[in-house]
Amino acid sequence: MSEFESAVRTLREGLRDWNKGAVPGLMSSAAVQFDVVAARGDRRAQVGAAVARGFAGDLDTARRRLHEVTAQHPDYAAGYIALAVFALRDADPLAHAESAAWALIAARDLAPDVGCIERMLAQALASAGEFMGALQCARAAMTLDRDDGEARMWSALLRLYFGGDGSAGSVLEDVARDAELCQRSSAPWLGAVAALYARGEFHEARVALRRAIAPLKIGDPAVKPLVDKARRWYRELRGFGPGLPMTGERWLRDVGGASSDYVRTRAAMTALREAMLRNPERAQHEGVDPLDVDRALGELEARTRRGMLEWGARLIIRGFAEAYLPLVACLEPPPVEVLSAMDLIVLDG
Amino acid sequence: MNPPVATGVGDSLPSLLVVSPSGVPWLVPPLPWQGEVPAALRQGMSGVTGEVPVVEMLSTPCTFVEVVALRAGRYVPLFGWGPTVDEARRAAACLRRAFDPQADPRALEHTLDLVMHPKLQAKPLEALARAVLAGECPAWSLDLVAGMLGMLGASDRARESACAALDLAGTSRSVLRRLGAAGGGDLGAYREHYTALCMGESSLRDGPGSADLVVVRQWYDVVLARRWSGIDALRAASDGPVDASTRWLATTAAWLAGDERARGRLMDLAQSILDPVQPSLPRVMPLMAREMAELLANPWQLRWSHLQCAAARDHAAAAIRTWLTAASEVEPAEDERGALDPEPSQAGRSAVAARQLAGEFLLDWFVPDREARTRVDAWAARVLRTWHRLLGAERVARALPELTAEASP
Repeated sequence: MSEFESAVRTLREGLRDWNKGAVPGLMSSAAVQFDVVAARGDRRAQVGAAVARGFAGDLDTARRRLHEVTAQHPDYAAGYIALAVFALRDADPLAHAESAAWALIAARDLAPDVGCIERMLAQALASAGEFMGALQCARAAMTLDRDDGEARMWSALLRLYFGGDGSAGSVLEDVARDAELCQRSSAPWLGAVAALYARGEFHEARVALRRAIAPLKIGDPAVKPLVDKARRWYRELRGFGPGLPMTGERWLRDVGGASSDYVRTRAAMTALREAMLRNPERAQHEGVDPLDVDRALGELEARTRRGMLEWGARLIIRGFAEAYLPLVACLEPPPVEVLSAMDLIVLDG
Repeated sequence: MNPPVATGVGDSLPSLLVVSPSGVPWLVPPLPWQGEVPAALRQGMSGVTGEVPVVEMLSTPCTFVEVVALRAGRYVPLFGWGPTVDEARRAAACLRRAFDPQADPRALEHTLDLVMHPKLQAKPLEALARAVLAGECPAWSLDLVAGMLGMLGASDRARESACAALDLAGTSRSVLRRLGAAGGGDLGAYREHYTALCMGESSLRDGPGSADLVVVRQWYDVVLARRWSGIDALRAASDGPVDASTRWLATTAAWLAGDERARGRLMDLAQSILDPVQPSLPRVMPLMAREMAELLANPWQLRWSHLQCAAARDHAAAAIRTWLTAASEVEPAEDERGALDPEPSQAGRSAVAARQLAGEFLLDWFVPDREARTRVDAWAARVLRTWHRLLGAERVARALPELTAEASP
């Protein structure tokens, strides 16, 4: 066994015994072993040393080293992927979402058709508020790996709250159940909360929320921020209310009621249009056309509906990313395909 | 001291009030208006013989030499000799000549030049305000100057600085100052003027004239921020204790919103405001008639432009206001993890910031049709200018009888 393989083995041992974080002693040991190999100019070991330090808790050094790797080897995807992993596993993923997205776009250019890159890019873009790009990446990840539950979850969440597709809710529940069967953490139940609340199943949504944060011990100050983030997101989900924007029963309330500017602008435009139709000569003399009013009415409604979905997605999907990504980072080690994409291990098959 | 001038307003000349030297510190030789005529101006005066005189009042029509004197700063600004009744009479005479049927087309502009002097700026007006405050000069002289500025069509900047100078007289005039400063069309600064009106409204609540201030702010809401809630408030407020000129302004918003009967009401209101000053200022009525005809031409086209601007607002932003309001409601401690503090999530915070921007005047929309926005903005600028003329006419109408009474034995 080479020194590099020995270091990787130590790293994986430290990740295998994950308990709200890697085993710091093993991570430090792996970092030292990687350093020895990296001194001989092995770029895989340079990435490994930074990754081991990052999982040991020294994020600043990890990021600095990874930036050095990307500067020395700009055509090496592993450095970019590792940077994005630490950005998305940060306690404040929204603050690092854009840098993660840029790193992952660079990685995707260097290593196309890698499912975990597309999936992480979907997470990063959703956190940054680029929902259409996020949806495309999530779908690309699902195309590359049909069993990618995480990508399914992000795709369904984006369809539900950005696309206004109510049927996507059932997928979120399926993903949470599948994750349980695969012995993943309880974090995906947070996605199920969104689906259940949208359907108006409030009690079930609350139960799902409790299930998602159940592994986080009550009264533990270390995990309290994670619990509070999830609960804050849930509170905003309740403010958002059941159903989806653009649906009949919510529409009038969402635009501000019957005396809102939207409703009154529409009414005024309709009144003007009718006046024009009653007196076409005057309309022609004044240079106004009822067809223009029709067009403007259509544009007004379409833009308002689109804007409402955009606002909803900004609140709910970004809020979800803010709560979910740190929860996953706490409860789960990085998946093996990510370690593989970082060029630390080779997946067989 | 300056020689007395015949104004035609009073029958006899009242004696000059005693002015303390400290009140008029610029009256020491050389006087500010006795500067040399610049060489550049002299070059165009080849046909003119003699010295360029110091102008106190313009002829009707005004001469070339007088125009040169104005350009060269060789003129005595209003109240340049101090805050006296004589100076008030001179101001009234200047106004009368500007609106004389024989006056040249640029008479209003030339008369406006007389309000401030480039060397003294607003000092004479400040001295006037101080004299009024000390009881050395009658309060109607402030109305006269402020009214003159409006009637002559002063720019936003000139009106604002003059009204600020006149506001030294005390808080009872502050509303007049705020009203006088309402504008924004000259430099596209409606937002700043709206902010000033809001500040004035909150600081001068329930004071004299504050109802007018509220109406003007609501007019901005309807016409420039395209908020329909303002039109209901305007309808209610215009029936309250507001001046006729303010009612006229409120009616323009109703006209813009499609009220067909507003046109007649606008005409009637303007007529009632101008009737008292029409005998003294005969050219004011034709001038206003022309301006009103321009304002009220093509109502559908303007209404359509206004609706285009209203439609371009981000109406979806109303949704996030509703959601976040609902989310900020206090949640009882429902589970064993205890109560959650009211702090929103980071995503919620950024949405709150966006909401605040969305609620700000003129920022919650982007009008892709620039032509529509320009048309509404230009119309608003014309309405405000006409409203200032009417507001000025009301003030002058209040001041002129006082001036006549002061002049009577």
